[in-house]
Amino acid sequence: MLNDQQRVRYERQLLFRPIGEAGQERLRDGSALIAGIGAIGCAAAMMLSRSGVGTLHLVDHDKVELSNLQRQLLFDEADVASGRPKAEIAAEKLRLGNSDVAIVPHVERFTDESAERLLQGVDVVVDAVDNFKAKFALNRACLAAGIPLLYGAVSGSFGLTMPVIPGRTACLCCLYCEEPDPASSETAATAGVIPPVVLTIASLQCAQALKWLSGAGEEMVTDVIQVDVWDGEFALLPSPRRANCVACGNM
Amino acid sequence: MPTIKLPTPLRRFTGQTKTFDTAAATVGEALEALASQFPDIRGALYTDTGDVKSFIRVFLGDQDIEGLQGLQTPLAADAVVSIFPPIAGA
Repeated sequence: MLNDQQRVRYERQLLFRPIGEAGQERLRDGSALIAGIGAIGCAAAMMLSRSGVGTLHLVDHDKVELSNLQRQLLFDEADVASGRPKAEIAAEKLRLGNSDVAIVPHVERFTDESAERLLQGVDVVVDAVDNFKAKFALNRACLAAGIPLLYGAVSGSFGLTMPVIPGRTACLCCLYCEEPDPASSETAATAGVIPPVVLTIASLQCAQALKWLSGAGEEMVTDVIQVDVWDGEFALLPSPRRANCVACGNM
Repeated sequence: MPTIKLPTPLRRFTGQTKTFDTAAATVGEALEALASQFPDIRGALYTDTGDVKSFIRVFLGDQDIEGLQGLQTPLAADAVVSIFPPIAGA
């Protein structure tokens, strides 16, 4: 049961019928890992912590730079000067917004080697890393652990998101066939990025995470969602599983 | 006339052009016409041996061309082809 303070804190969410008190209890008992505390990671961490996800693991090895402040909403100029790790700063700031949840910073990269340890006890993973090497490591690890991964990526005003639900939906290898080489993939460093698309993609990922964690996983959108906030375009594109996928074809 | 819609990440190769109209009869011919018009995009779409890169997804309307006839998929006069490149930014 929720306590009195939780009923007040989450009142608006309890009124949202698809979650309600039973869903809020599941959120409280749930655990999410956010891989990468950059632009998407900051936004996702803010939403999931304030929504009452019981335990949030924040994984990032990096420090805050001045060029991050345009879109990474948890950080400020003092954080740039401090030289402290993003994961630790983010954890401190998130606790100010909701001391009712456990925030666990991990100052490291998500890799094939760290995956099994980092995913212990985690119910869902938000992809907020900025390169395909790490995204494919997340894909492998989540498939192996049977944990849903919420792929998300942005470039310019364009963004994509898709859930990888092991054994049920397409995975990143189904979507892209193979790991794109760094020279072929678009990132904020090549095409720039504007904050509205970051928040849009992070919001879509978080809505999916809330569904999964609150017990409404069957209602998750399984298509690729494609957004362009500059052109005002929003599309759902089917992404069927590949029977011969090297990553998930045997599931 | 069939149209190719270009997402913002690819527009840096096309002088910010959002759409490309072509009289091509197939998806493959349309992509080739695009690359001929905007040579800078060729490296983003094609391998050195001239194949479309495996991780480039191409849709006709809301259907992945892999589920149709691939690059040989014919184009109707009002066809809309969408390309999405692999993006990893966060």
